[in-house]
Amino acid sequence: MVNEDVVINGTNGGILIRLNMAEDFNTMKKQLIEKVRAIDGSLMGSSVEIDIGKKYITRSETAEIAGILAERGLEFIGILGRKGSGPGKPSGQNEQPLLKIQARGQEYKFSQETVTIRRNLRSGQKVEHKGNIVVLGDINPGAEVVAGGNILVMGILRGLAHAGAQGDIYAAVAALRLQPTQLRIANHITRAPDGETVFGGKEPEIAHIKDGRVVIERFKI
Amino acid sequence: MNGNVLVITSGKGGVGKTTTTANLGTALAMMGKRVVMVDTDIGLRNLDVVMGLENRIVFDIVDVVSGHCKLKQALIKDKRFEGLYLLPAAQTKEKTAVSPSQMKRLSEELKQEYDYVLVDCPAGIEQGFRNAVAGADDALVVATPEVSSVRDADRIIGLLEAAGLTRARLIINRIRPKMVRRGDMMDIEDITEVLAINLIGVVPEDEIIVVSTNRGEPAVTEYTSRAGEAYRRVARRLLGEEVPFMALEYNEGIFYKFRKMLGMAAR
Repeated sequence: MVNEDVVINGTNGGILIRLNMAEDFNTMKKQLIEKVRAIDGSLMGSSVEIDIGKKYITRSETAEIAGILAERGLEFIGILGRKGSGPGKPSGQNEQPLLKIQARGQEYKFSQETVTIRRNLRSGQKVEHKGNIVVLGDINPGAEVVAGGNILVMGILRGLAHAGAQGDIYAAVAALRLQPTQLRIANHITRAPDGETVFGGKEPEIAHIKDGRVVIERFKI
Repeated sequence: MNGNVLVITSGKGGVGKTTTTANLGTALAMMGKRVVMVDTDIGLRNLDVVMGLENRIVFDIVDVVSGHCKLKQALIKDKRFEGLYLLPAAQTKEKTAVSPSQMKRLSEELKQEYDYVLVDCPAGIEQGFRNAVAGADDALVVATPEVSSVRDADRIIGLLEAAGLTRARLIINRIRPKMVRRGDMMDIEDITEVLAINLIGVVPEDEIIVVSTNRGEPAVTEYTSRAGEAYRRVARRLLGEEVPFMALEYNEGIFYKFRKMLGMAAR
C-alpha cells in the first residue's frame, strides 16, 4: 500500500499534516486514521495544522478530520492552503494561509483548555499537555500523564501523574481509583508508603496541596 | 485461499512464546489446518529445537528474504503432522538482517498457501519485534502471572495498537492454581483488569512442558498434559469455537491425586 497521501511532520511546537486531497476522501481518511494512531503518545495535546496544498476541502470533511485528531488527543487548529484552496469552495487568490492567521489568535486559548484522552494509557505511553487532561479510561503502571493544569481520570490511575507541572500549586489530581505509582503536584513528589502497594481505597479520591503537603481526600461526585 | 498471520509476542523473555507457538501450530495442524510457523528470533533461534527439527535446517529466513533460496526450499516439513511447516531463523546473523517490509512481503506470500502463519516474536521491542509484527493480521500476547511480565505485556499491547493490531488476545501462561488460591500469585482477573484485552487461553504450569520441550515433542501431542489440553482449547478458540476455560481446581495432576489418595496432599 502506498502511504504517500498523508504525510505527518513535526513543526515548531506542533504537528503539520499534509494531505493529498486529490485522492478519494475516504481512502485518505483511512490512511489518516492509521497514521494518526501511530503518532507517538508524547505528542498528545499538540496542536495540528493541516496542509491541503492547492486542493479544496469541505466543511464536513474538515469536521471529520478534527474528530479523528481529537480521538488521539490532538488539537486541530487550522488549515493551511496555497492558492485556490479554502473550506467549501475555491476561494481564489490568497497566497496566504487564511485560516492559519485565525488559528494563531486562538492558540493561546486552546493551549489553556482541556484535552480528553478516550482510551487506556499503557506502559510506555505518555501524555503531556499545557492545560488540563481528562482521561476516560485507565492509566496503567509505566504510563505517564503530565499536565500544566489538573488531571482527572475517569478510571483507575495506576501509573504516574504530574499535575501543575509548570509550578501551579493549586493543581489537583482526581481519579475514580487513585492508586498511582507516583504522584506529583507542582514540585511535590509523593509515593505510597513502603509496604503499601496502593495509595487509596475503593472510592474516588482527589490529591492536592494543603499547607505545603500533598493530601488525599475523598472526592465527592 | 487467504490465511491468517498471527504474531505471538510478550515483550518479556522466558514467558513461553516459543512453547506457545510450537503447541498452537501443532494443535492447529492436528485439526487438519495447513500451518507454517515462522521463527523471527534471528541469532537466538529455538523453535526448531522445541519442534525437534533442528537437524533438518538447510536454509533459513534470511536466505529467503535475501533471495539466496526459494521459500519452498527453506520450509521444513514437520516429522509428525501433515500440513505443518517451519521456517527457521538464522542463527549466525542479526535481527537487522531482515527488514519489516521484507517480513510483510514474506507473510503475504505465506498466507496464500497456509491457513495459519504463526510468527514467533523475539523478546524485546526493537527491530526483532518490529519485524515480527510487520506482516501480522492479529496478535496473541503471552503473559505469566508476574508483575514484570504483565507490565511488559501492557507495553507490548500499546505498541501493537500503535501498529494497527488492536484486537490482540491474551494467553496467561504458567499459572499455578494452588498458589493463586493461597493468594500468593496474581489471578486471572488481576491480569485481565490491567491489560483489558480479550482472554483466549489460560495455560497451567506443567512439568510435561519441560520434558516435551527437551525431547522436541510439543505437549499438545501428549493427552495427559494439562498444558497440552489448554493449548488444544486455545487452538479451537482460534478456529472460532466457543470452548469453556479449564477448571483449574482439578489441575493438581496425577501426583496430587495420588498423594491425596494417601492423605498426604498439602492444603
